[in-house]
Amino acid sequence: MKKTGLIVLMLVMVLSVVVAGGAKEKTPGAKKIFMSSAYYTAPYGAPLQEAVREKAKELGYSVQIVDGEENADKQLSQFKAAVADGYDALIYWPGDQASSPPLVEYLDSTKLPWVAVNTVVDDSVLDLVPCMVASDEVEIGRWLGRLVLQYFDENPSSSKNMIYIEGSPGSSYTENVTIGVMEILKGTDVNILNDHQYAEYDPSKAMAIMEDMLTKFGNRIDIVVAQDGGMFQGAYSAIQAAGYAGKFGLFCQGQDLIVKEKLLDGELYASVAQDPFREGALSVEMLDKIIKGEAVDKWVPTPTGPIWAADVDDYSWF
Amino acid sequence: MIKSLPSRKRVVTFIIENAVSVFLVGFVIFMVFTKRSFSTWDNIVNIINESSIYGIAACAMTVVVISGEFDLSASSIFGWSTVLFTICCNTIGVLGAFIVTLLCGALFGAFNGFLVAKVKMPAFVVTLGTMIAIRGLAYVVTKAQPINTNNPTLKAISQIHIGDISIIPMVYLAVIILFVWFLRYTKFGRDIYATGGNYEVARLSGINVVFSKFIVFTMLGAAAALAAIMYGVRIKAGWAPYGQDLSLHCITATIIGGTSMLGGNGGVHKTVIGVILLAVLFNALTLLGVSGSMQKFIRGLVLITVIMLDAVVAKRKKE
Repeated sequence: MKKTGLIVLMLVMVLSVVVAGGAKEKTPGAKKIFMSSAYYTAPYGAPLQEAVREKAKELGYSVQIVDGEENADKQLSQFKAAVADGYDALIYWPGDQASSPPLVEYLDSTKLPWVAVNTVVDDSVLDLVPCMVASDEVEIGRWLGRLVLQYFDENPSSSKNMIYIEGSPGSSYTENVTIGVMEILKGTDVNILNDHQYAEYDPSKAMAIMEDMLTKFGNRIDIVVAQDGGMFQGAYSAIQAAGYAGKFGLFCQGQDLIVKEKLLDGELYASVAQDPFREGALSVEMLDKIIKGEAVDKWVPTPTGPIWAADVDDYSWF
Repeated sequence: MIKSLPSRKRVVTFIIENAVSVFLVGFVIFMVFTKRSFSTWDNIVNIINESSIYGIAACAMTVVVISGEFDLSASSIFGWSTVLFTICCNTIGVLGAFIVTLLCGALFGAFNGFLVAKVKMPAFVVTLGTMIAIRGLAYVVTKAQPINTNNPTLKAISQIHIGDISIIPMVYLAVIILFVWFLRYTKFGRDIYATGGNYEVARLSGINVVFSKFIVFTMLGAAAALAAIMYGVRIKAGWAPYGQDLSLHCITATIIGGTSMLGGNGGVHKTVIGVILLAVLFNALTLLGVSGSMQKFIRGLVLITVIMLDAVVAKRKKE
């Protein structure tokens, strides 16, 4: 009987949490924005979504953000539920390019104001997107490449050996950043020691990869480039544990707090900006313009460029 | 008073033993009165569509659980199958893609079944290994790239509707009928219950327990591939990471439905209720404006509640 009572209590809890959770984000009378985020739990997702909430509140909208779990089918269902519920505007963060066409076609068919954010949609449906707020991912890669060359100009070395740690295989972000890096380094004497090494944006995987690279190449390494701050953190831990701290040039992309700390310590040569706060806020600003019938650019790039230790106060960190 | 006590007890027993259905009905009534958009036809169609794809695999997962096993690799077979189906749609056409994908899924399932049933390896170890290997294979074949298809036949199939219902729920309904018939009305179906209930007793009574276990894994492989084909019909794309939550979702729906993880009892009709409950819950949480983080918490809470309920029912039956 005690167990039955506990179960009844839990069912009541579920219902009350549902009701309480639902009541939390509503602003009476405000227009409602719905966002499905494919990368809800990713480190980059949290600040982006927080910025969406803050900017929406500032502009007088109520907003609901749900986890699309990198599942296009789930995101499609979420948007259909939102449209059935009378939401006024939509924000779509795609999981990948290939699965985006049915979603873009559906969003277009709703005739509601909407924007895509962060991940570029498939070329076949690009024309249907009213506005896309996303980084120029290739340009981020180019900046990483330029920083590598600048480092070797400032620190001449007989060898120019580089370890390059990438994100997730098949992710458009990973691929595009790599395209940018290779575009700049092609034809130079910088030598990438490893074939593709994917740490999947996981610091512990980046640490394991770096340990392997240190075992294999040791002192032959001149610089290490990681595609984001989390993977840099993992790689740095391996470098430090092996006693190589301060012996390599280190680069990454990102605005994590660990990046800021390492920039200020002088252990990180430079980072490349990709601001989730700016990206999230821009997506709501563009959506607001579309709602008001104002013209917007098809592609609004999130600003990027190098971040040096002296500039850290000019950027937001998460 | 004397008469009312037993009837009250019967009602309580009925509610506890059918708690998931009672909760589902209660929750639906709550939603109908709380959110007008919940009971709109568009939203009902959306819930049906949402539950159908993973529901197909959940039917077969139920059979595996009834046999006393479980399978972690169904999610990877799904991911691989989305890749294979999309590649084949772009090369040999939809019919060829359908056959090749289904056969390949069944083959992977048969491999699991062989190792578990014949070699007597633990299902956890076998399916954990194949889960990693099959997804790895999908990454290798696609060079880790997501792929999509513009096959016109596939597009035409995706546009087939009866009323507002697409072809996917129809396939799901056919799969439900097939599995319910198989488990209830065939000797082989009853053998699976016996195998899951008590393996040794079933073996000694002449049931081919090895074949029973082999075939349930094969069926799950084929069902995961069929679910992936339906995903292809809806999304027209394939990628190795797709469906990573499929195995967990299917096992959750099976447990919520009331099929015991210990094997030997349960049924596909129960899992259908579990699948609907999950779909209604996800949909309702979105309609109620619950944030993504809170949705995860509530889903976990529901699962714990149902497992506790399952334990209470099992204890009562034992007493």
